[in-house]
Amino acid sequence: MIDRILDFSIRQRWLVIIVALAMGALGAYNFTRLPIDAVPDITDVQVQINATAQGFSPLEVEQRITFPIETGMGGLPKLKYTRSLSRYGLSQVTAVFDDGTDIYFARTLVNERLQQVKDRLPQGIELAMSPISTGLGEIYMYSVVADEKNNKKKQAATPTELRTVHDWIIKPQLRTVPGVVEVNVIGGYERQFHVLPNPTLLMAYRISFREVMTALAANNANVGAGYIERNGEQYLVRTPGQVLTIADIQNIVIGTRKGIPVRVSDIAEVVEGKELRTGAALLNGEETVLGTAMLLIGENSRTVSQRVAAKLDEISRSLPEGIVVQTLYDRSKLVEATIATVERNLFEGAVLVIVILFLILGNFKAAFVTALVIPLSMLFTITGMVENKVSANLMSLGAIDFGIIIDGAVIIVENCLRLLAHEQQRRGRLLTTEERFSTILAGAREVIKPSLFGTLIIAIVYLPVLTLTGTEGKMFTPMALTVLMALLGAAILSMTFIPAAIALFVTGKVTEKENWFMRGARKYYIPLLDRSIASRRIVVSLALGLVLISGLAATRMGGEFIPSLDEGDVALHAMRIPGTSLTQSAEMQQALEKRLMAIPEVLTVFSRIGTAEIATDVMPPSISDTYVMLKPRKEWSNPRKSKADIVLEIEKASEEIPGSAYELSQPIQMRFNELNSGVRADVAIKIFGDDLDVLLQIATQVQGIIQKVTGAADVKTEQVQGLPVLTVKLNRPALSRLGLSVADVQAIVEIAVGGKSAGTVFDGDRRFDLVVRLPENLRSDIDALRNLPIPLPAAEAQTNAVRAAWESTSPLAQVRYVPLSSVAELETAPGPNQISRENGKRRVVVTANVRGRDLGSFVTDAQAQIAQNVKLPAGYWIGWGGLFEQLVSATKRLTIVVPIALLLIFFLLYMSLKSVTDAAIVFSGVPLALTGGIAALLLRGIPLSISAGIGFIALSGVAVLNGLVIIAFIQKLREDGKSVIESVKEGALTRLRPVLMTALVASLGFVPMAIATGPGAEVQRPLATVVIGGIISSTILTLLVLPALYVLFRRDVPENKTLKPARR
Amino acid sequence: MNVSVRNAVLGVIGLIAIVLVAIYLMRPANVAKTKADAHDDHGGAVELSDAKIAATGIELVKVASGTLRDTLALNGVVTPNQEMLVQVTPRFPGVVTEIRKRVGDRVEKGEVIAKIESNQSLTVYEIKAAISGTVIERQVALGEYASEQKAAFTIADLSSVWVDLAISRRDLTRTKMGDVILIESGDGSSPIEAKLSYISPVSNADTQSVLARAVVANDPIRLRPGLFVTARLVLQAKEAPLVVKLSALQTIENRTVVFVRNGNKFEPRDVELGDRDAEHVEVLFGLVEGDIYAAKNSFVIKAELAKGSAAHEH
Repeated sequence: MIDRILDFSIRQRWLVIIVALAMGALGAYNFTRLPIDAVPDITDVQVQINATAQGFSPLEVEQRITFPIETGMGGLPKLKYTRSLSRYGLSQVTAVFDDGTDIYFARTLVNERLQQVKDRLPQGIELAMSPISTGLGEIYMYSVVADEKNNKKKQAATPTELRTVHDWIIKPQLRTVPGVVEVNVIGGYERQFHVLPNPTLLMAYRISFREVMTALAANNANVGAGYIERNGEQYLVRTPGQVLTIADIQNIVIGTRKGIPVRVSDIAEVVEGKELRTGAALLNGEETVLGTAMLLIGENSRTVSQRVAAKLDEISRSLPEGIVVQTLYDRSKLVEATIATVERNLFEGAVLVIVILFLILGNFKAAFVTALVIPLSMLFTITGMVENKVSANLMSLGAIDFGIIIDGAVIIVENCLRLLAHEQQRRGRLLTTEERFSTILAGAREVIKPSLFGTLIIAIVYLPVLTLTGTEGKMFTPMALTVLMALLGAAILSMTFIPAAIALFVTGKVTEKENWFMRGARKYYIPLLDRSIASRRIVVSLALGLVLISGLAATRMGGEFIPSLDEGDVALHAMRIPGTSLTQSAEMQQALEKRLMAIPEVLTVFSRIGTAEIATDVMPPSISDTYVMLKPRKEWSNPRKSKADIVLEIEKASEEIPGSAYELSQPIQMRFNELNSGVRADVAIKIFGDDLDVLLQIATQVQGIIQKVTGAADVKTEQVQGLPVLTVKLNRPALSRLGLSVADVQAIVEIAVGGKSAGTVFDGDRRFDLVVRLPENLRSDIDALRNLPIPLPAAEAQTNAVRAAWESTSPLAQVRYVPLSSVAELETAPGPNQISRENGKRRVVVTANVRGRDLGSFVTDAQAQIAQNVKLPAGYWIGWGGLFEQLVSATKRLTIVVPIALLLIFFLLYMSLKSVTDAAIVFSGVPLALTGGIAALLLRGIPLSISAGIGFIALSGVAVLNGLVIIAFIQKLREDGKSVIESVKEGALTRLRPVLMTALVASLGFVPMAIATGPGAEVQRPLATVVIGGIISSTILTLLVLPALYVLFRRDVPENKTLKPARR
Repeated sequence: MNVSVRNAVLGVIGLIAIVLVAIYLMRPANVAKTKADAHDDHGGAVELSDAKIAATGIELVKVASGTLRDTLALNGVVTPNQEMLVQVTPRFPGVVTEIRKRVGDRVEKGEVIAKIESNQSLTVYEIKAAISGTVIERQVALGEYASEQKAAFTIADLSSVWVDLAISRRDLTRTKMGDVILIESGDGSSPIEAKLSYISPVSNADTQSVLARAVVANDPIRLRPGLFVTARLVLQAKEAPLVVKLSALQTIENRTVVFVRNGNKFEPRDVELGDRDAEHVEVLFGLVEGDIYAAKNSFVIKAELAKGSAAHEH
């Protein structure tokens, strides 16, 4: 079969070349369709339902909004679980679906259920599903700022003006950009019209709040009245009644008193005011308006952010004077850096490969043909990625090692060249086409099987990676898939394209004149090989010792599970205690930003405090997301300074600003953390139940127990309490005595503190809320609230003796009110800060990290102790989760899958070599190769990580491939009747060239990666280090230990061709 | 035999080595989380260097004695001084034959304001102003029948008016006769000062409030009867031995505390509070004179104290 393919490729070489080029072209076309981003998307398939309920406290939000929505989501198909969060004025329910569920399908389902739930929600609730975006969605951030330099007007634009400009000029245009699903905004103030009635005047005129609201509503509408006909023409009739200006509002008549109209201006002040906002934004310590363009799922972040940038540029020309848009964060920069990294690797890898091949083969054409496999297999991979919806990013592209991928091709080219040279030498002339073809066919045939086997083996070692699930799966599966596709591409190419191209291009004289490199290598190699074979026992035991030592060393190395990809910028989460007000938070944030700006490498600092207009992240005002943008490396005073140093500096600087706890991460990483469930500790103990107090009590108990378990660190209980709540406790008897209803008082408190919307003021497209609120001096503090006048119902004709005390003529008798404090008690007490629920039940989480102990035993220990010491009331239960779940399941899966993969490799080797011993000898190359990798890591002080693990995986493949090539050749020689030592020596010598070549190609091709500092370096560096170190050791071992091993375990047995069954 | 055993051993070693490495790689990540808990739990002190204090704008003030001046905001209405208000009523019913004064006209005591022809005697008699003042009401017209049942004129001396104020039950204990009130006339000029001259012994059942009255000099006329006014009642100034600024007060776990500087630390001190005014509050217990406390931005200290518990869960 393979022979026939080879034969066909050589005969139909033009066709093969054209097909290969066509495939390349397809790949190039697909490259434009390939979603490229900086990092892999690890967001769950999730739909968030945000509900805003102005003025609702966490308890009410949970009871009246979250609960109905959450229960409404129950039983949806493919639903994994639901979780929810109820905070002041906001409810967020997240429905997480199984991986691979179509997001539009999921949203339709959720929407359908929402329609059913809607009726059960209180009035005035705004329900919205989160934008169809992922953790990678925030691709472009900009701020709208007042430009003082180019402003001819003396006054700088106010935050309200900036916000208005954003909401009504910038946002509508940006939303039309294809690929942008939503434009979110935070900061500034929404423009509002405020009617501030004076309660005393209201009472004097005997006007109630309700009348004011009704009057405002009744005098602010346009009505269409149909049409009339006149002389054949049709006239539309309209009666405009909308208010346009403050004066219009002031002139609205509420009623008449003795024939005199009472206007709004008589009883109230009308001003342009500020909304009661939920979030603020700062830029370099100044108030700003921050806009974020969000990317639609599946769109190409680079092209979309470029489009956004172009659109913003266009918009900025039509902005009012003195207002400019400043770009703060542009994802395309990061993506371009990523592409540049990949491109550079591709280019440098190709150049190095050509140079090395030329150096060793001494044939430029052959070297070029081999190097062509790199771009072609890359383009093949891209097509495969597009088809399989794998996105291109640092993770998926970063692990591709071209050296390893073209190993198979290198071996074939080398062998063909060797045979061609031999043939030419033998015949003493140039070969005829036919002869050439048959030589190439023979050469390819000779090594195609080991080469394919080798590739297959490399592919198999990647299989365990594919079984990972969850976050690790999302990170590493694309990587494994990409490598597999690249390998497949390379394998196909080496079977078809390589023979065809050699047949086509490698014409003329092919000499096997040993160049200086190979001559030198051989000169040193021969005596070494002899000595190694002679003292084989010592060599083998030495190698064994090395394996053991490096194995020991590996257990002592630090490890990190998931690498963090450098996004180039820093994100800082500043957390203040619950209940910190927005103003206070902004003040503290301001100090922080001013301090951070003092770091010379920092370009800009901007932040979001609290919740944005669209609650993509339900943050209380006490928390702020801070983005620290760094200057380009070139502008640093010391461009070689490491990012880690800067991060440390930022951390130190922020510690100087007291009052906040900080958490450092990176913009995209932070967003992922926000979207995926917040439990990021090793162990999370979730306590489920109904009563918050009981839950908290159990949590405290659990925390106490966990703290005592050995290995526990950072034990924390979720902050559910601590939001200061001012409760207006109404005194019902007092109310009934005064003839007041609960709703009357509630309405006045609502109007007083939060204000109540009484309609909308239109200004062209723009619309602004018209709000009735009490004047500032009546609502600013608790004492003012205590004195809040509550108007009483009109007096009845009383014949009470006491009435005499008031002169019946005194108008004061009409001013009938009581202060709020006489009908209610005002209490401040900490209330629930937030209420989290999971799968329809309240929960409180206790989290802990584990240090100096393995997770498994820690969890067993903790579970036993909690079962023993914590008595749960009926209806309460404890669930266990956290990272340990993933780790345990990943470890379990890998302990099964890795041995299976290894067995499979062994089986393949056996199939190929038809001998257990030979297979085992080849296999022994794997641990030997790993020693070099571990040594290299130790030398560079890099911890073990998944990317290092991927390096080890690739390494095992290369080691096996090299061993296979040598052993297969030795086997062939022995079949020809040579003695063991003779065939080993000859085999090793003949194979010196390809082994050196693959080794050099693979390791030198990685050198740029190993010393890189650009984006993606943190993934590539361990990988490259492992491969370089491992290949050096593996090559030495393949060339020296393998022959020694072979001689040691193989005797000159005449019937060694017949297979001995494996004995145990 | 020998060979196979060795083969098997070698193969097994290789397998084990790989499995070990793989398992090792799957270990939990020991991300460095060594941030030491620099602060004790609630009740503990918090360390803040002087530089940090300056950076955050915390103001340090010494605890000292002070005078508390509090005010009460009251609503009221201007009424004519009832003692200076006279309703002029005809003594005999009859027909009005002449009217000399109109509403708003100034009259002197004893000045004739109208003439009436008595129905009984058919003689014309004069109606004279009982006091000097202004005619504020006129119930009769020329030729109209006036009777002794109904007042014909109301004359008020507006050079002094009453300001009637409603004092709610809560504030009653703090109000005394003779307290100074400052009346906002609403015309933009400075408040009018007056003293409470009357606090009603009975209260209004509807509003559970008590009427208090001040007699206010009103010459020239700034207050017109019928106008609603707001007034601030100045509670008697109180000398307090220890006062702190209101902005220094913070609540920790339902206890009111003041942060006191001790070395380079701030300690939360539980305090018992007395009277307060708009800026200061009297401290009855918990502080001694000379203690240095955080007067402004004290929230930052509270935040720093409790920041270990601040977290961002989803």
